[in-house]
Amino acid sequence: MARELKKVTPATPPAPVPNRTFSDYLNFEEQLPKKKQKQVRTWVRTAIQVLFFLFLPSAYSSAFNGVKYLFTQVGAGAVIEWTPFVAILVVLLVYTILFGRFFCGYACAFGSLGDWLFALQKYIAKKTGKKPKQLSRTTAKSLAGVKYVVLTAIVVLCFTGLYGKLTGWNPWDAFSMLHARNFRLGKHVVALVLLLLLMVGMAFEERFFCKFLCPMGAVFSLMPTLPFFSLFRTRKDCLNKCSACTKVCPADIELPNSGTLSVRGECFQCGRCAGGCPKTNIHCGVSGKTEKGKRRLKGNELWFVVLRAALLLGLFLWLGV
Amino acid sequence: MKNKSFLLRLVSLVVIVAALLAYNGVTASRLEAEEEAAQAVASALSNADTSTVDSGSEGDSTPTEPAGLYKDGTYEGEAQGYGGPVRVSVVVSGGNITSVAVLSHSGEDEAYYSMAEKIIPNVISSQSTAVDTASGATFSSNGILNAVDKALEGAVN
Repeated sequence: MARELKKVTPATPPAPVPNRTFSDYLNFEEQLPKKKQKQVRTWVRTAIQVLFFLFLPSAYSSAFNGVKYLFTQVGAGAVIEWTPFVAILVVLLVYTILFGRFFCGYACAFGSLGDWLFALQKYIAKKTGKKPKQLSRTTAKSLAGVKYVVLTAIVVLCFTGLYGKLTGWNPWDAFSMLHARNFRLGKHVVALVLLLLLMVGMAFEERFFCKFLCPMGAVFSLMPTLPFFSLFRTRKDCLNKCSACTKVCPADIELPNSGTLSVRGECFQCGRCAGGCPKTNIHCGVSGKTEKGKRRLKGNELWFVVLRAALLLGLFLWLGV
Repeated sequence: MKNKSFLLRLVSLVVIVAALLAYNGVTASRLEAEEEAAQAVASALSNADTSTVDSGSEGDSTPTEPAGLYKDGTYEGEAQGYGGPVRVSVVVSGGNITSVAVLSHSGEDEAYYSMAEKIIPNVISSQSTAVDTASGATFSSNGILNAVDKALEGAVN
């Protein structure tokens, strides 16, 4: 009897109302259990990716057309004009200098395609219980250099004027034609085969194309990304020998210590590291020096993700992508 | 040097941007000078011409000369662009293509289309669709050019 009474009593006094501040409401997802947080973040990211995939699939190729245009004009001794492609390239590079490769992580149609193929492969592997062999991380790191070779090759072809004579090999053309439901691929057989090979790669290695081959990614990763919104960790606060952030990172990045200007050009700003850190020790450079106990910008807050996506969307609509 | 990667990138970017701007300035003034020189040559030649072959230039202005390949009229044509059909209307007058207007291009991406439409003046000045496509916007360019070809099929003399 007594035991039953004791059980009832705690319910009677009113639960203490937590003193919520504006920032608690803004970061509502942080009140959720950790697993739920991860799910919410994944869904928001996927929603943004779907939006850009459906409505702005050509942003990547427009920007890269800007790069090709610059070198074609210089090679031909012609004047560089302010074309829509150049405008998109310049705006996207400025955006990247400020926010890092958020475009790659959230808005690039090819990147999203890779994420979905990889998720599908992982789902199938889970169902069948067969795990495909993974590339060793050292191999992956050295393959990341290949994209600079791809970029150099394309730039040289443009500069010498040979690029225009090559048709039917660009896998992006095949992808964009299929996306536009244009199935006249007769002249693009090579491109289609290359696209299929890339898709196989994307399914088995996360961000296969972005990490190893994307020439636009090579341009982005050469940008002097400012530290304000790049991710850092305060190394002295890390758990001993913990590498949770690197393990969860699709680009195998070891984050730089806070207070430096180090650039991690391979970072797609996916924010998974910030969510996976057991000490919530990963944060943007802008708030690196905040006193302990105060909130720091971790870079994976939903409002911050949505804000960056909205800014990018606004820029693209303004530019007429 | 923990800040080396950033500084190296920053310096490289500034150098590249400066080089491109300098290149553009030099090229623009060079092309301008070349154009002026060409114009000077052309006007000198035409001055020399008028005194000797006066009768010839009169013959050029007669309306019966076989200038035009096409019958006068307005023609419409359609062809596949990047993401759908491109429809154009071509006006032929005096046997020449005098205007090309794109009636619809709903399947084209805006940035690509605005690059592709820059080839229209070339079509009119060369009276031909055998012009260079806009680089990067090949599909949209070919959509316009093929649609013009289709339209002109009905206009051939």
